[in-house]
Amino acid sequence: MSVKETLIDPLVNRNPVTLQVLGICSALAITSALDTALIMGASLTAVLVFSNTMISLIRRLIPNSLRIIIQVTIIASGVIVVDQVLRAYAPDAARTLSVFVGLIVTNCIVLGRAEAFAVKNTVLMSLLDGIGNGLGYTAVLVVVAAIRELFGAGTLLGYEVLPLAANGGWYVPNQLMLLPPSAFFIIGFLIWGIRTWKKGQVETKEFEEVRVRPAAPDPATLVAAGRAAS
Amino acid sequence: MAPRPGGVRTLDAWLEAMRVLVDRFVWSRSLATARAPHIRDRVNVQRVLNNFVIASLPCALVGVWNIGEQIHLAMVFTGLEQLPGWRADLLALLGLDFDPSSPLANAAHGLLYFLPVLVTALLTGAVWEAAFAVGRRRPVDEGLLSIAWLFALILPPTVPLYQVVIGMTFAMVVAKGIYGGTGRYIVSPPVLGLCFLTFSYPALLFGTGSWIPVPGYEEPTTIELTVLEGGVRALELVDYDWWPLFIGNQPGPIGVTSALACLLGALYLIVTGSGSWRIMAGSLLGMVLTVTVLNAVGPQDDPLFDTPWYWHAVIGGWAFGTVFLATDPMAAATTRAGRWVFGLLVGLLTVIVRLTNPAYYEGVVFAILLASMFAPLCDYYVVERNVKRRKRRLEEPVRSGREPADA
Repeated sequence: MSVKETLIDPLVNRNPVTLQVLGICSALAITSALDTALIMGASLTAVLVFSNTMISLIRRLIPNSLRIIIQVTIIASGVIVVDQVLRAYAPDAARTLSVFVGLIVTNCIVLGRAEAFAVKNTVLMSLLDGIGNGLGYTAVLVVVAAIRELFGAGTLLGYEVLPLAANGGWYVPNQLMLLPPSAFFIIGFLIWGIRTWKKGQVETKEFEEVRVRPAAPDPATLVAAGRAAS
Repeated sequence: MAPRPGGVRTLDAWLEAMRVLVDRFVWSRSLATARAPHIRDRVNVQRVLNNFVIASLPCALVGVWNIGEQIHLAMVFTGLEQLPGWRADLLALLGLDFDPSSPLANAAHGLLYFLPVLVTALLTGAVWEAAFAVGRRRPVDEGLLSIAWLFALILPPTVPLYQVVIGMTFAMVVAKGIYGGTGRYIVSPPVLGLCFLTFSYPALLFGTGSWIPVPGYEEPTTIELTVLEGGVRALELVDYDWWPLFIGNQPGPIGVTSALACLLGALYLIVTGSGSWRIMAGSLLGMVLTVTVLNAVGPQDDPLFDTPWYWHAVIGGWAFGTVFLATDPMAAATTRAGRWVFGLLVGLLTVIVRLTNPAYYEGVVFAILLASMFAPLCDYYVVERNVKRRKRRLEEPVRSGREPADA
C-alpha cells in the first residue's frame, strides 16, 4: 500500500467507525458536545500513533504467543500518559470525558490496528496508519458531535448558533440529540450516506430478493376455475 | 338474489346492493378456491389498514368534541372572552361562539386543531413515501393514510406543526422506509414517531401546558395527576368521575382520551377481522392482572399502587394503544399463542412503566415498542413448539386409538 493510501484511506474508504464498526461505544458516549469529541479524537489519535509506532518498532522481537499482552501493555502505557496530560492541562475536559479516556485501552480500533497493521509493517507506515485511523475516528466523532450539539443545544463549541427559544430566539432544542441513542441514528444515517456514495462498501446480500409478482388475476375467474377443477 | 317485480324489487335490490357494499368494504367473503392459489376474498393490505382509520373515527369524533369543550371550559374558567389566532377568526366567521354546551361549536373548534396536524402528517408522509418509491424503483406502499391518521390522533392539540413533520419523518424513514416499507417494518411507525417526539420534546407530551390551547391556562392530564399527585384520590380531588373519563371528557392527546370510542373501534376491528382480539384481550388481561397483583403486594398506603384497574383503563393512552397501535398487523406477533403473549406483555409493561417511571409515565408507547421487539421471539417459540409436537406425533402414531387432531 502506498503512503497516500495508508494515510487517506481510513478517512472514508476504510473508516474504522463507519466501515469496520469499531469504537462505537465511545462514539455514542462522548459525542454530545463538539469540544469533548475533539479532545477524545485527539487523545485516541495520540494513543494510536504511539502504540502503532512502538509495536512496529519491536515487531520482530515480540514472541507470537505473547503479542496481545505486550500490545495491550504498550497501549495502556500510552493511555495513562494521555490521561495524566489531560488531567494536568485540561482538567475540565478530563472530568467530562471521565472514564472514557481510560477506556481507550479497550477501544477496538487501537488493538485492531496493532494486530492488523503495526505487527507486519514498517515504522513509518505504522505511524501514518495510526494518524490516518485516528483522523478517520475523529472525523466521525466531529460530524456526529456537531449534529448532536447543534440540534440538541443550539450551540457549536459552546457558541449559540441557533438562537434558542429560551433566550428569545426561535429554536426549540431537540433533547433526544443529547441522549446517547441519537448517536446510533446519526451514525446509521452516516453509514447509509457513505454506502450510497461508495457502493463498494455495501455488503453482499445474504439472500436473493424475490421480485414482487405481477397482479393476481381476477378472483372470480379463479373461483370459477377452482370449481371447474374440483 | 334474482330481482322480483314490484315494490319489493327495489327494496331487495337496495338491500342486496347494501349487502354487497358492506361485504366489499369491510367483510371477508366466504368463497374459497379449492386449490392453490387460495383466494378467499377481496380483502387486501390497503383495506385492512383503512379499517384502522374507520375504526378510530369515533375516537377522532369524541376527540375533537372534547378538545373544543376543554378549550371553551378553560375560557369560562379564566374569564377569557376571545382567543388569539386564525381559529377564533374562522369560528367567528362561521357564526360559532365559544360555548362549552354547544357540541357543534366544540367539535368545530376541536377540528381546527386536528385537521392541520392530520394534513401535515399526510403531506410529510406522502413526500417520504414518494421519495422511497422513486429511490427504490418500487410502487408506493399501502397504509400511508392509517399511519398519518393514527399519528395525528396520538399527538397533543398544541403540537407545533414542524414537530409533526419531524415525528412523521422519523416514523416514515426510520420505522418504515429503511426496513423495506409496509409488511416489513418491525415496530409500528406512529408509535416510534411518538416515541421520538417524546424524547425530543419532553415538555410537549409530559407538560401541563400542551393539552388545552388557551393562553395562560395549564391543566395536567389525568394520568399525570394519577402518577405524580397520588392515584385516584388526586383525580377525585379535582372532581373527576369515572364515567366522564370513560366517555373521553379529559385533557389529553387529540384522539386518545375516550375509552368508550376505543371499545367501539375494538368491536369494529374484531368483527372485520382487521385487528387481533387476542392481542387486545391479552393486553387487557395483562393490565388487569398486573394492577391487581400490585394492588395486593405493592407498597402500603401508596395511592398510585392502590389505583384499581378500571381507572387505569380510562386514563392515559392504554385503551387507544391496545386497540389501534398494538394490533398493527406487521409489528405484532402473528401466531395465536404468540399474540396472547404479545398482548400480555403490552398490558404488563404499560402498568410497570406507569407505576415506576415518574419521568416518562405514559407507558403504553414504550410497552408497545418493547413488545414489538419480542414479537418475533413469541412467534418463534410457538412455531418451535408446534414443530416438536408434530415430530412427536410422527414418532408415536395414534396412541389413543383415534386420529390425532390436526394442529
